Amino acid sequence: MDPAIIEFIGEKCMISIIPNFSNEPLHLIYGSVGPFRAGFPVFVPLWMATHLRKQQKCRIVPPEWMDMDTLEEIKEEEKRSKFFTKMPSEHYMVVAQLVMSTAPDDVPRCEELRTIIKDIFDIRESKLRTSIDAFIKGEGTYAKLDNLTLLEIHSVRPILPYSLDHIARYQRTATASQRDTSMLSASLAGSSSAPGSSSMFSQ
Amino acid sequence: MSGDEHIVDLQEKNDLKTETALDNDEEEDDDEMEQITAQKVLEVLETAWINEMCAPEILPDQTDMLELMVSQVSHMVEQMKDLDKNDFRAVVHSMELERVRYIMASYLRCRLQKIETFTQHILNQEDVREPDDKRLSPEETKFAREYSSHVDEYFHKVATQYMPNQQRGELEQRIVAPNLMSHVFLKANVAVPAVIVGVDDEEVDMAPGSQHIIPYQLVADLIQNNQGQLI
Repeated sequence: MDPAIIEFIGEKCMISIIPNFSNEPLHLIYGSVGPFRAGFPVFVPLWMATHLRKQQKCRIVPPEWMDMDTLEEIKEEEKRSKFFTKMPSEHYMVVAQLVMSTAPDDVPRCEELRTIIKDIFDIRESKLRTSIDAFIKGEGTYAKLDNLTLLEIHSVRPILPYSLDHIARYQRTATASQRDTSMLSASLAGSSSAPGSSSMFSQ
Repeated sequence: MSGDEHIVDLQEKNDLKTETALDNDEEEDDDEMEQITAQKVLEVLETAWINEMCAPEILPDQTDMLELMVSQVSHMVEQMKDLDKNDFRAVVHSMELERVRYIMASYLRCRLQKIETFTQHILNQEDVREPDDKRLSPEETKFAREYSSHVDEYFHKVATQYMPNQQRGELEQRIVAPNLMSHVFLKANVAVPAVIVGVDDEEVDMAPGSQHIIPYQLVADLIQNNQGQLI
């Protein structure tokens, strides 16, 4: 999956805007939005919000979690916890990136927010790398990844599943050759018993 | 063949082996039906699109959903003809339609890519499947057969006919099959008890909304039952 696709999926998130025009509700395929009344906040999909903002037709209201105190707390929690904490939004990086790049003027303390969100992301990424390292060394085939967001999963997609696939392939080959040897020695010994271990993956 | 052409090519398909979502929609009353249906269809398509992108093998086709969406899109295009192009409504609607078209085109493109990579494997599997169980739409089947025969013909013309018999290799040896044990990311939609997750028949219970990395084959049925989706 392309990062652009992750952004595309993230753009479905609803976000509040304050339009400077009035209009009837719009019946989109994805659902209805509006009515728009100048000066009153309304929830729209992020892709529409960024478009309207570029046309100077609205102000974006940053989501509640885009606030220094909340994010400081999340950052501390993330540092303390051994596991991944739940993020305020499934697409926090996408939302933050899009809102802060299209409408930096609508976000108070934009630069500070940018830094702290990046910090949180970095903490999570390094945690993710450490756990992947442990996971692969532990020779697992299954892991639980609760609270990881799509972008974070995507950041390990090029490496994690492929390395696991390769390890699985080596294991299969190892089991197969082991079986061959045991079959060979069994037949040499004249025994007709079936090979003891057969790989469930053998194709 | 580009995704766009393929959408236009879609023909009628009579057996509507629809998702339950669609059945429910049709029972809704007239007034809101179009709205709700379109929204649900879009959701189903989006899930199918993401699943298709992440799954190693080809998944059952969504021809009926695509048809519904194509007709919805053309219906909206028709309605928008009267609107001024710079009208706020027209701009937003056409932006959304672009997004929907992208999802559909990307979905079909992804399937075509799989068909091109695993042509023979997919055709062999289709041959043994029951009519109700087919994974390709009739158009996709046609494409796969033509693609396969063109490739064979081409190889024969430019290379294999000049080779000695024993080096031509058997058809069977050239079949490319997807690795079904490749790892995927799965999100459980509902609580799924006792999913086997390892070689040693290790089991876990999946909570709704929980995310896992797991070999595809162990959860393939969850995806088809919509108990989980790939991410």
